[in-house]
Amino acid sequence: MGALSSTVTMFGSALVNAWRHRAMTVITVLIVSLMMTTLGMFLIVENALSVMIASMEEQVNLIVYLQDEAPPADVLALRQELLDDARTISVEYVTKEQALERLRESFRNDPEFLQPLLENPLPASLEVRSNEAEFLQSTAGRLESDPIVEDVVLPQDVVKNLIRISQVASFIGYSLGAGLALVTLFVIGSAIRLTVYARRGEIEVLRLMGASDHFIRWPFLLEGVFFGLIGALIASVLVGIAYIWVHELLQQLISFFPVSLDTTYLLRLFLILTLFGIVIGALGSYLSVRRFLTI
Amino acid sequence: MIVLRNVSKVFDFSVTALDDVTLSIPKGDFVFLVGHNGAGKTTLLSLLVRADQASSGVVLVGGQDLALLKDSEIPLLRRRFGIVFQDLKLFPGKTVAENVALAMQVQGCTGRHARTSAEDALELVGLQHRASFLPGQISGGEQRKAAIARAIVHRPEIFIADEPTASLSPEAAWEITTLLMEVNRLGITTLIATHDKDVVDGFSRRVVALDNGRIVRDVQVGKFMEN
Repeated sequence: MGALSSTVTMFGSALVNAWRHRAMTVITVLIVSLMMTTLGMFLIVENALSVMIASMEEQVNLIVYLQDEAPPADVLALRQELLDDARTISVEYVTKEQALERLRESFRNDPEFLQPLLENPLPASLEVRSNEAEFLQSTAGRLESDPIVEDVVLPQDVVKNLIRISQVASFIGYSLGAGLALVTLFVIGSAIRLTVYARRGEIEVLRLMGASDHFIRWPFLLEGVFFGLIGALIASVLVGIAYIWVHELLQQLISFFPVSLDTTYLLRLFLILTLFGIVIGALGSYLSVRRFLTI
Repeated sequence: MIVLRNVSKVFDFSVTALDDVTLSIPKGDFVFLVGHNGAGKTTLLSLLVRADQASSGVVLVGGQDLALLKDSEIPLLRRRFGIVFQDLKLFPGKTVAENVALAMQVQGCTGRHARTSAEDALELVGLQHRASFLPGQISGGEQRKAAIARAIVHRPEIFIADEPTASLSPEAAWEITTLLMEVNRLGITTLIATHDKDVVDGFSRRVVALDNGRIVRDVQVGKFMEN
């Protein structure tokens, strides 16, 4: 009961302090929300690029031509093995007959071309789709030496370019993301440090009155959490609006890519921003107050 | 009981604030600590609450050697004191009652108990009618009373005040000093740093005079004690 009462008192004290120093509160919350919005915007642009690259990679198929005498059980086993990999989107088995039918379809304006065929020369195949070009490339290399495989076909140039684009995009994305997260941490930490600095006199008095570190720190920590939470909520709303806007823009600009509105991603982003805001707020306060707990 | 034995305090290896001070203040005593600005009064008070440490010598409070205190024990030492700071250091955003109740919260008392104790302390200093005012809304004398209420609300063993009558009219200074006498009558050891000659002369109490960090006089008014 005592601990609960103490917690309620501290939480109340934090909110009252935030209200009484409302000019600093408003400035800090604005800085927090601005930085979090910038971070959120970056994340949705990075996500849009990732979705686009993944979509491009999905367009590439690996075709595994099978030996005519390949035992059906081995073919099924190979198909299952490919399907078991999480990076595989689909594996379609194309029989010799289906392959010939496709060929006929593509030559339907010139049927005489296929007249001389006495028997079906086309092999059965497995068409593998994945959203990771790198996976398709490694799979192609591995299956080349498989005894039931006659040949593997993969548009190497396209794949290589996609892998390069994907790697560069990932590198730039992670570097910028990490840099931006650090800058956000620094700016928000500085803003909170300013609010704590403005009240260093209060901390000094509390210390001389015999207040414990815990007693002094908690209201500031809760204030930091409050700043982070409110800043993150404002940022989430702004980022959500921006996400919908970017999504519509992408659909207009590159309508051939199936970019869908991913509400799960959006919710995950809100959660990340909120947790990030709370953690940064608490951390910023903790580090700032620590400096003044040495009197 | 407060004991200082051959205590010196040197700042930045060159400025001597206290020089070989030996002083003993029995429990329940009332002492005026006098001297001009820079004489070492504030430094002496800061050593008592371990806001600073002596460069040499021994400082004992209630038999406890302050040099041997662990960091975690310092708050416990300070809770035995009630302090009125020279600039009062009231929290401008908190009401008078909240300022006083804060001292109880620091002691670990919350809610009703803290509020009731704050009301009692404000009544003792005659400031109950200003409980809901902010410090900026009351007079300088009333602010001092609020600071005194905050310092005594938890019934400390030792009460120290740094220039409690500075910038007050003679009447207000007299009123505040009378209040400090009442605090002392509660059994609280009282140590007042001041350079207000009229106040010191007006009350028959022990006077310890500091000059350039040394004790130059330790007298009971009307009775010479020590040179």
